[in-house]
Amino acid sequence: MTDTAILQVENIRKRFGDAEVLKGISFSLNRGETKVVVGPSGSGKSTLLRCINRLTSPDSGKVLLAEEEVKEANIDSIRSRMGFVFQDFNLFAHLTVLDNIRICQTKVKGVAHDEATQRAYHELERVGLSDRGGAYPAELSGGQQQRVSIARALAMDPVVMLFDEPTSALDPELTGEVVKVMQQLAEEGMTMVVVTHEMSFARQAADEVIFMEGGHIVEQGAPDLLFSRASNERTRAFLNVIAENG
Amino acid sequence: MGIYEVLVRDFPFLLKGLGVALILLAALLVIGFVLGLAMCLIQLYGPRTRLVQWPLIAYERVFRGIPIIIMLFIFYYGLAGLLDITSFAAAILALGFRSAAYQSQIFRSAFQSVPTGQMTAARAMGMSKTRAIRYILFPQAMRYAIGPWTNEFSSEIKETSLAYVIGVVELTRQAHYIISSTQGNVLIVFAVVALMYFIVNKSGNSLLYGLERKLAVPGFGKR
Amino acid sequence: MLKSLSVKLLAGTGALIMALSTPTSFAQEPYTVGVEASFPPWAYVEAGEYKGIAIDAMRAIAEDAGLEIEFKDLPFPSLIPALSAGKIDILATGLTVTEERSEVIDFTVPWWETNDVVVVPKDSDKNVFTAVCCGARVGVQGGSSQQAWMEENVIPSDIDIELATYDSYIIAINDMTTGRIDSVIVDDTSAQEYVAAGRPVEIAGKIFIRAPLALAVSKGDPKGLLSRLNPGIVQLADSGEWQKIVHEYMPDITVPPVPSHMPEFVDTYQKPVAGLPELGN
Repeated sequence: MTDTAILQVENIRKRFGDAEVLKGISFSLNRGETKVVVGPSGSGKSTLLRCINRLTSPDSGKVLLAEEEVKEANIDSIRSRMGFVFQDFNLFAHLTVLDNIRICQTKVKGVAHDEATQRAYHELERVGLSDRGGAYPAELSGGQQQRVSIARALAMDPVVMLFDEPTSALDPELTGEVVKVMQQLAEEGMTMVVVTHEMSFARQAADEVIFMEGGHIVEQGAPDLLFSRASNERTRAFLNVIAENG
Repeated sequence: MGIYEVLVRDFPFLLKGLGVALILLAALLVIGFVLGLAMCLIQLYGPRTRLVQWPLIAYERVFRGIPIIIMLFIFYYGLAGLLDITSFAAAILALGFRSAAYQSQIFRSAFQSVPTGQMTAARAMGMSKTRAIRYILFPQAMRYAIGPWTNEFSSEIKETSLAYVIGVVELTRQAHYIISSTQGNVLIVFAVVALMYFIVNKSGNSLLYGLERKLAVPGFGKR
Repeated sequence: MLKSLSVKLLAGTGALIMALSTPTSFAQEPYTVGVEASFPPWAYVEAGEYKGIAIDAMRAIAEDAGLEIEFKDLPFPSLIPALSAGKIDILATGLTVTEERSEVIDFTVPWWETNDVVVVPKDSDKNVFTAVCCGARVGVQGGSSQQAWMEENVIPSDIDIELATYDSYIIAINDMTTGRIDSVIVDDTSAQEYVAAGRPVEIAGKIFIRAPLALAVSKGDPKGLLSRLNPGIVQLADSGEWQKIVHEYMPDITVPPVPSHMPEFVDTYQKPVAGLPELGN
């Protein structure tokens, strides 16, 4: 753990009934770093992500954001600095794209309406949707909805962005536009933790890839190393399956 | 004097009775809305302890299970020792409290129709639970609630006509006056009164449908 | 935050309840006179005005006795509960004096006397006996002395009838003319009104005699009204104004003497009667 670590995850454990889903996960993230978490379904990736911003409360372990421990008491303030992108977008169904991006700025951060509008247009431009501000979520394609949800998170000026399988609910032909936005963010130096099956994204954008299985981190390292010469047999097996299907 | 002349002469009194019925209706719906919404929110998002939840369940059972006439008598005569209230106030409270039980159920199922991801997303952006309910769930739930609420509106109009049993001189009672003072004409007088109720019901429904259209969001609720 | 929102909503409702409840219990005047205002000729509303024998007589008595009064219309079955609950102070309608009622309310001296009659549709072949037997459906007003009398004397016997109770006699008469019920039992005063008003009905015969009608107050007369109402009633009759009021509504009727027959089962008719010490059983 270095001094510049912006996000520290220390020994997180989580149990659902009899099943221990996370068996002591630790990693840290420096400013500007992108870490991609991969692994088979049920390996605990999404639970890990939700434990970081306490959408699921961990049984034990600590999360620190900029050296501030994440607790129930400061959770709203922490979350306003941690963008979260869901698998199924979860755009607010009754609000236009513009209002989706404005509402948390004005109601959580107290940003003035005009400023929030300006920011919303800025983020929409960033995800390539500046002409869709007046549309309602149901009028957009899945890929567009996910890009709006990224813009919505970005408008909060997050210290770190968490992506929970952002392309899994999309038709294959729509994943590209979302991956492109994420790659662009990584290049711009956004600090990100991404749970995904998009190996192309992992290969190109990740500073480090974390391979999880059965609630453990099995292996972690630079994508080149992990993809070409994974030391762990299970990692290799998983990567082979992904490579065949992808 | 023929019945039609009497109807013309007494029409202002029928209108006055209608006015009383409408004020009663508005008041009971407001009480039902405020109280019903509060109960629904506590049931869905309040403390899960029995001490809080059990009385709410009991309240709903009682007010939905007891005939309104009996409720009217209880509020007017039964509470006489505790609270000396007028017939009109007793009618507003009895009907309003009962409507709260129905409205709380309407709102509860409306809030439950909002996908859980909406709350999760709002909370993930740092919204407090209260703000998430206020800005994200409430506007969506209300859109789900308008349909069933329109039914509640229609059925409560009819219920106001029962308030006469505790001496509220509303439209039905005014009609009784004409019937008894003219020694008959039940059919024609009640036909006029039925038409008046019908007009109120129809206009109320049109207003609510209008509101529903105004609040309509493309693709909302179709999943 | 959520809790405070709910608390605010609940507190708002509480405040509304407080606003709706008026502290009328502290006010002594005016006295509230409960009437059933769809019971002509005793009490009814015409063109928005209370009218009828009981209404006019009550006004006259109140004026003589210096009582300030206001009328409150309640359905007949509700009047006695309202008196018991203190919602009204005086009950003034065509109220028959019965033993059962005298146990829960106190009667003034009787100002009228009726006989119950059986009313049947005009040109009906039924007589006073066949109209209330043999599977007939008989209409009465709910909570009325006629209903009580039928339930006490006819229903338990072998006579095969079905009793239909109504909020108002007008509806009962209407149902009879459309054939839903076979006969209606009502006091003769009202029956004569229906005939006079041209309703297609006729009186088949009398079945019950000498039922006194009176005003009533709460049991025990907590406001001491009997001693003011009793002399008022007698005075009204003595001055001839009572007869004038009655004839205004029922021009051809014979006005019974006031006070009329005072049944022994009524405790307020024991000697000395409040306000009229020379009377009483």
